[in-house]
Amino acid sequence: MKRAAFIIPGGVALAALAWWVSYFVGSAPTCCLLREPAPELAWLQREFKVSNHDLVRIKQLHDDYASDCAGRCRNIDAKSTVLKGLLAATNSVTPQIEGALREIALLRVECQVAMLRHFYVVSQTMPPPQAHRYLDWVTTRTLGAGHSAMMSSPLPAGNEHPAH
Amino acid sequence: MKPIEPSKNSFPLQPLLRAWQVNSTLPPRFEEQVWLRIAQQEALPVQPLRRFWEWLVAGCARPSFTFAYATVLLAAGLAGGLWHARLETTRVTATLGALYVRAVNPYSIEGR
Repeated sequence: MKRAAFIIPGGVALAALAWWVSYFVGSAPTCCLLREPAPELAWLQREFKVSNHDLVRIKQLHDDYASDCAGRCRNIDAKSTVLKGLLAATNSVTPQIEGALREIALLRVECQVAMLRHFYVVSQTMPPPQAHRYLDWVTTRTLGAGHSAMMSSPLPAGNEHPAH
Repeated sequence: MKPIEPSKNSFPLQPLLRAWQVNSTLPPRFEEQVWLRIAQQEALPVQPLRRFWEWLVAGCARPSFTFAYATVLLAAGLAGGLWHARLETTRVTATLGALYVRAVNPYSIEGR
C-alpha cells in the first residue's frame, strides 16, 4: 500500500508534466506570433514561408497600402455624407442621388482594384508555390473567389467581370 | 497498528486462553447460514471503481505493472498535450489569418 501511495500519484504527476511539456513544445511556434508588434504579418511570414529580408519589403508595402486605403476610405465617407444629405432632402431617386451612388460605387471598385494590386505585389515577394497559395487564400477571403478559380473558369458571355 | 509484543511482565493471557473452554452450542443450521451469507455477499454488484482501485493498488507491488502504468500515463500525457497544442495552434492561426484579412480588406467581415 505504501508503494502504491507513491506510485499512483507519481504517475499522475508524470502525465501532467508530459502534457505541459508537449503542449509547450507543440504550441511554441504560434504562441510567440501574438506578441509580435504586427502579429498578422508575423503570421504571414510563417504561413507563406517569407524570408526576413522579404518581410521587410512586405511591411513597407503593407504600410503604404494601409495609408492609401485610409485615404480612399475617407473619400467614401465624405461621399456617403453627401448622399445622406441628398437622401434626407427627397423621397425619390434624383439624378444627384444616382450620381452620388455611382461615385461611391466607383470608389469602392478603386478600393478593390488597389487591394488586388497589393495582393499581386505582395505575392511577387514570395516563392512561386507560396505566391499561388497566398493569392488563392487571400482572394477567396476578400473577393469571394479563389485565384485559381478566377484563372481557370472562363468569364460568362457578355460579362466583363465575374460575379462575386 | 503496532502488534502487542509479549512480555514476561504483561498480563498472563496465555494461561487464561489455554484454560478457556467453550460450553455454548452453535445455533441450528449455523454452517448453512454462513454459506448463505457468503453467497449473498458475492451476489452483490461489485463497484467498478473500487475494483479498479484495488487492482491498481495490488498491481503496484509488481515492477512490470509499475513500469507499464508509468508508460501509459506518460504516453497519455504527451498525446494529450500535443492534441491541446494542435487545437491552440489552429485557433491562433485562424485568428491571425482573419486579422490579416481585416488589415487589407476594408470591407472584411471576417473575424469581426
